[in-house]
Amino acid sequence: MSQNGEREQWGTKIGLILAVAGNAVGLGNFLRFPVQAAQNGGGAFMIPYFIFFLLLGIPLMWIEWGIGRHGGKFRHGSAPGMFDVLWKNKLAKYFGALGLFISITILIYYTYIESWTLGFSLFSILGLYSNETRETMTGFLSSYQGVTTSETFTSLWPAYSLMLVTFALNFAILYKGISKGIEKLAKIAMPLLFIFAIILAIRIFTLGTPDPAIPENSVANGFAFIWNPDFNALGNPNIWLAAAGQIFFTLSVGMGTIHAYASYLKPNDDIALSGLATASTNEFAEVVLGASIAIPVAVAFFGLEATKEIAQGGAFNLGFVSMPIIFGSEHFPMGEMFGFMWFLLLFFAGITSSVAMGQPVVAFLEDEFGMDRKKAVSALAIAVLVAVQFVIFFLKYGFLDEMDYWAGTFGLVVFALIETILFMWVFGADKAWKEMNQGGDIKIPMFFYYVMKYVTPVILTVLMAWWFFQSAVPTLLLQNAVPENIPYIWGARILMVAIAVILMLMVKKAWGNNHSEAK
Amino acid sequence: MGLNTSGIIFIVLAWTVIISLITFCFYKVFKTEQKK
Repeated sequence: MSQNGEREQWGTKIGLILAVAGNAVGLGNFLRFPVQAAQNGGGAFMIPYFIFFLLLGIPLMWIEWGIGRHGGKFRHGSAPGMFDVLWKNKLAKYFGALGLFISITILIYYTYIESWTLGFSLFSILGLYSNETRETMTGFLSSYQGVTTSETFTSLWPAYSLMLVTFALNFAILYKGISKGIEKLAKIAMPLLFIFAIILAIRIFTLGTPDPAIPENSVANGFAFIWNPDFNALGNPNIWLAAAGQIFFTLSVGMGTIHAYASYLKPNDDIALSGLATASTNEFAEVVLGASIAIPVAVAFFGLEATKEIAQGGAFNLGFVSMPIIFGSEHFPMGEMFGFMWFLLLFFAGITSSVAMGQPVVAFLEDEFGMDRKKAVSALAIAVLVAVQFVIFFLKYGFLDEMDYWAGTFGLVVFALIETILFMWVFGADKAWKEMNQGGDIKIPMFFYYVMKYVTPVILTVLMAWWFFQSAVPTLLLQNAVPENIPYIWGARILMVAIAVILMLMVKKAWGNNHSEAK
Repeated sequence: MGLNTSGIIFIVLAWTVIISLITFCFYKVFKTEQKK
């Protein structure tokens, strides 16, 4: 039983930083951020963005690293056990179950989206798309997803097969463990991701004006679209909330994954510098690289007005429809190779995040049920494989979107608020501060003590209230749902409730079996 | 159109802040690792 044996440990500090940065760097860095910046005041968006990086992003990073390492001292690698040691109350572990629910629910649909990036990287190198229009490329994507059929894809089997490959890769990495699996992946995938992103950014910088007949369609105008500030936008509260939301999403906080990784640290290992290094690595991927690829090249190829329309269509539209059109264009030499690099970098961003989402449940089974890692990973793999079938076959009915909203959007801010209150108020700000600074290679400035105690919880409460009234209530009441999709949306809700109930019962059983005896 | 003066200031500032932060962090990480 793992409860009696040694817990695993990270091999190197740089490996841990890359693994947590890998968890944070995802599709959102390359697709969501540039769209958000361009739509919310351009360069002026960076003012609230950096303010919330200081007041929300970095504090939450340190809070999660602190809770995780503290829980690890008590042999807890997941939120139920971690919350139980922070708050001596019967309810604490059930609040922690939310951390398991969010990570496993996102994992269910995220691996499927991740498999699309793997598929599209292969399609790029095989030249399956070239000289496409927005209509034909939209058709290409929807036929790949099984929503329609086309000459290229007559069934769902290519998508299903690539999902199985992605799934097998994820669980093989988790199976190998922290140091030999997750850390090794991060050490290979993260440098490659950055190399690919830098090559792509340089190539796009040097594109200039792809079609000299249309000089206004240029990379320079693409950068202007993202960076020229609109100071009037700063008077709009929605811009500030959008910046807070972007900071929140980009760092992958509120999921229970950082806690799980930090639990494998020794009590005197640094978390202050590691947390900051992780956050800054993510920001480099987002602001420097993410903003230099998709939107500038879209403006250069489609023009400003069409790019605004693309941006309104969302991140998937930009990543899986617009980018392949660009790479398949005659104005983009060696587009197959650059397309391959683009989708492979998204795949690396995805897989380093999805293995992190699997780790909390694996740690929960190991630490609270005494399972060995192989059994724990196998149990998770079976559960996720069963659940992902609904996502694949009911994709067109909004099944994935419903799961993404409740677990991947609203759930995150709820969990982040709970953990901040538990750590800074219930456990105690002084003890939490001492925990975060213990063994630190840098001293966290005292300014952040007050930010974490007062400012971060207030920002999270405002975000939660805003999302609740703006989107949670209409989503819950199915106000914008297509009537045909309603049974499937309810199906997604039933699946999520079932996952939550099963996790709660498992928490109850684990504490009934082990913890009450120990007490 | 192209980047205007304010746009250039914002991009230069944002990049400088982030590149300085990441350089500082990894310099400290490698330095403390070497000491250990």
